Amino acid sequence: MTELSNWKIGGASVSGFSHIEEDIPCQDAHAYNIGEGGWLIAALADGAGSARLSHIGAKAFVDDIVENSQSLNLTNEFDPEKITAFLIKSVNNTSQRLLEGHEPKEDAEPCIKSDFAATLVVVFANSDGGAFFHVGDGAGAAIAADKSVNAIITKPQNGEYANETYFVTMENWDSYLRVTQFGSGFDTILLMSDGVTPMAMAKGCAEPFYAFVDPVIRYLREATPADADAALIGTLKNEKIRSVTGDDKSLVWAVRPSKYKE
Amino acid sequence: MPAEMIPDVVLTDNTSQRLPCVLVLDGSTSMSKRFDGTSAIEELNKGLKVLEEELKQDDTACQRVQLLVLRLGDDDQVQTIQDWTDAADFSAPIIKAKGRTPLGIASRIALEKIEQQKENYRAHDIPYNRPWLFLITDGGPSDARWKDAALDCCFAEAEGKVIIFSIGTKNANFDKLSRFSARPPIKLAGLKFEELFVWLSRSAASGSQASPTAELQLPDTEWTERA
Repeated sequence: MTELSNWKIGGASVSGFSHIEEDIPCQDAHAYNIGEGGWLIAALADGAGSARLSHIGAKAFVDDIVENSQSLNLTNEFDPEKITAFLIKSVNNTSQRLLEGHEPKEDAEPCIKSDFAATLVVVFANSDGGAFFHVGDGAGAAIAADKSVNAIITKPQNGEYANETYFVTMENWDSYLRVTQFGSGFDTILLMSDGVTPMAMAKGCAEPFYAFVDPVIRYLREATPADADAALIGTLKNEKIRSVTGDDKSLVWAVRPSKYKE
Repeated sequence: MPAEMIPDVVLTDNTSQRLPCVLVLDGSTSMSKRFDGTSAIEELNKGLKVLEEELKQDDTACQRVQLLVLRLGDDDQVQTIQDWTDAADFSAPIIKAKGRTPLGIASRIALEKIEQQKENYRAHDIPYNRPWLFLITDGGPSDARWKDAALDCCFAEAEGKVIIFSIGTKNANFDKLSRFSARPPIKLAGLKFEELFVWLSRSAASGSQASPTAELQLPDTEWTERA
């Protein structure tokens, strides 16, 4: 089974044009790992623009999830409920750690939970399939590069307004946690923040926008991991994107050899 | 050597997200009163020109913002000076100062037009931000039923339908203005309409996020004073 889970994985988070101009840190963060048994675990968080420490929150949430997942004892039997329980615990522990551990500067207001507000999209996958776990906006996609089956998508959740979403620091955040499962027919996984969805997803986010996604996947498959991420960063910083969004942009990608796909 | 960017990637905005923004502008006679060599109407019109330039200079705002401009004045009349238009096509109108200040009627029309535009977005599957409504005056409402309209504004805001910014120049009636929104009205320092509209354009472009329950406040800046 291990060769079937031969993931090649990478990702990039880059500051948005408006954040660079206003000297705001990149509020997106991502982390990933290949766990025991070939499990792909990746997490991406987008810190709220309106929250003063969201860049710290975003990084802490994804780092903790990926690090703590090593103790999960994942077996080949996929158990989304077990993973959901793990994620809720991990996020709540991180929130608590942030509140207790962050010393505000002398003249600053004491921290509150919403200072660390961030959206979250996580994937757990092996060769038999997996699931997205998602709060707020951004998106995830499980794709068959040969398009033999339709992509499975976890869409952004925004409520009525596109610029307002749900964060893992809200009191009842776990009621907004959505789980989207996918089967074994997929060789490509993408996670993205809302700075990337306008380009990587088609209108309404019902499917990937293949004029973006296909060349990206094709290149990433062929390149060395270091070259792949350097080119991805170059792409996400391209001047043409200025007219699409001023927001931070993150994309995590994982591909496994198509020939292993059923 | 890695490529500077991945070849053949198409970089387009497939969502066409919109931020609807209504400007309700006071075109009453008092706006033309001259003081220190200028008048509120002159500064307002200069500010609108700056708004046009700022929006067009900012790629994101230019794509995202849609504007509707209403003028109030005359014999308690409200005119649509500029129907919904993309920022890219926005041409600053010149507001004339003549007549009374039917702020109640104007705010009601603004709320109706906002809901119509939301219907339009939904029909075309266009995502949109929570609309912004700016009420800008140098006085206070003159129409008979302005209190009912002000209450409607507060209800609309409480229901999350719109964000209302009420802004007055120095001698505006801030007691009356405060009844149009739960957030306090802002006193424009001097006649700094240009600074106000620069702020509007840049805030529209920032893509800042707020959870559905979060409050958006006008900042304390060089163009605001506490009313």
